[in-house]
Amino acid sequence: MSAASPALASAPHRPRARHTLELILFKAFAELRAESSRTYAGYLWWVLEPLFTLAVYALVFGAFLQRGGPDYVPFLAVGIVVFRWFSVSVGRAADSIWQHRGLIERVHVPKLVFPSAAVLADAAKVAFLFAVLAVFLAAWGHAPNAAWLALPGLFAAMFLFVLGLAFVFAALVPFVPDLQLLLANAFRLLAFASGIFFSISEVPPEYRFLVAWNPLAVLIDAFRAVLLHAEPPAPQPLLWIAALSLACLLAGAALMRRFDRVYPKLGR
Amino acid sequence: MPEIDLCEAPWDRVGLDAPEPEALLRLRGVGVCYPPARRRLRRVGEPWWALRDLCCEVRPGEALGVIGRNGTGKSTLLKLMAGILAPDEGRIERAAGARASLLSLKVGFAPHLSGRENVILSGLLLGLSRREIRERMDAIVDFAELREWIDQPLSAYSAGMAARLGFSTAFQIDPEVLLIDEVLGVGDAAFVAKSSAVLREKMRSNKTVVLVSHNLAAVRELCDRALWLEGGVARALGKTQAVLAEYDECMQREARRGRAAEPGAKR
Repeated sequence: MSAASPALASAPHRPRARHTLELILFKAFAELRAESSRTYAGYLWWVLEPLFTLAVYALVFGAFLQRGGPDYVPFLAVGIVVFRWFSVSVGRAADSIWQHRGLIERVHVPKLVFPSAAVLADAAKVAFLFAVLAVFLAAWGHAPNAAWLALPGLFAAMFLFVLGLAFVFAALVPFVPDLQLLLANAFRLLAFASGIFFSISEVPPEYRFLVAWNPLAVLIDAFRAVLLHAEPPAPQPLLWIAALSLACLLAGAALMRRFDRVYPKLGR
Repeated sequence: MPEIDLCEAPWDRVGLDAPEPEALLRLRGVGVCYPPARRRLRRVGEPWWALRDLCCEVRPGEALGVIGRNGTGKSTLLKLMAGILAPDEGRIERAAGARASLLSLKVGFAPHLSGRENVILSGLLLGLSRREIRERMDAIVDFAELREWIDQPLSAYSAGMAARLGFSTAFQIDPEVLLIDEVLGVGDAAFVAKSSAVLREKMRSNKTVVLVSHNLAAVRELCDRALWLEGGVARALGKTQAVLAEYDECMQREARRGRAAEPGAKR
């Protein structure tokens, strides 16, 4: 056999970054459209569901157990909204590559498209949810203030945290589908360990390390500081979380790239 | 049996004996291995080689037919060429800029999106940019004959209409190497004729195509060369006439053998 002609290259065709971005954006849009048209109330469910949770928590912890004081309902509302962003997004994204196993057998798609689109679609819903929350808080007497200037940074840290975990789990779930079940249970535990219905400062010092190291608890605490107490959040823990999230993001992306052409074999 | 069994002979390298012309795709000793199935934490069964030590190339402008029985690695070969799978042995060389993609109908189609949105999503998944899709939108809609329906949700379409839209979209991708798995026409009778006509026209023109088919008549009619796969390895590669003759002969011999062995059990 003669030597390969110079025009022949061993590298497979790699789609350009711009095209990947277009695909992520349109896929996210398509997921939003599909979800809202599948049910009668459509977009309304994104607000109704957390509202139900809020009602139950407020009744059980606020009224039955007499906790929290007069500001307990907005306190719960912030915790529920932030936690919901995390659990729904990571849960859905974790399943995203596995869910598209039929698709990736028929066409080559960079696998990070799937968790990215899932997280982005959820971010749009979360933006809507936060707008409703802002109105609700204003009605409760927590008007927007100067500390809200920290919100874009806080949103960025939270988004990065969600995307980082989404990447890692999306990359691993096709190999170990049981992870999906494990996640559902972990979320149930995390709901308790993240301070949705209590504040980190209420935890006795000897147990505080259990929640102080939970990035989600720190993030929820930071959102409350800004939205309820008009205090800018301490930047250092947030920077740590951002760094950790970035590491997850890169690890997840590297895994998805490494196994890019292995995932299509796992569906059978 | 005293006669020489051509089926047992090693595959001839008719195509490779000629001096190599410039190829768009070249497979050098390529194999694909699927991991064993999993039951709980245990792995059951053996890893399975769907393709083994395959050498062939796809030349510019040719139509290469791939024939063989079910489960002999034909579809795996197309997935490999399309870059969906990577080879577990050997390597694939691609000419610079030579995109190979599968004619995949209705990829990513979702019932709640409008026809237009489905075209955009499907086009993006198949590798087109938004701009390229915008430029081709009219051609796609016209070819599918869905001008009045294109902004209706796909769930309102009949199966035939969705098939038409799927074909029109996929047909517009036009990669350097078009990989076709059995699909030569879709939709209702009229559209089958129309879609297979444009595909055949494309194959007869200077388009580079790899066609997997059980339809030997179509392979004979459309393909310049043929590759016969058996159990994941190449049994013959060369001029369509020669490969098909050998394939036919082998099939007939096997049928005779089968009759002779009756009513005995299968191998």
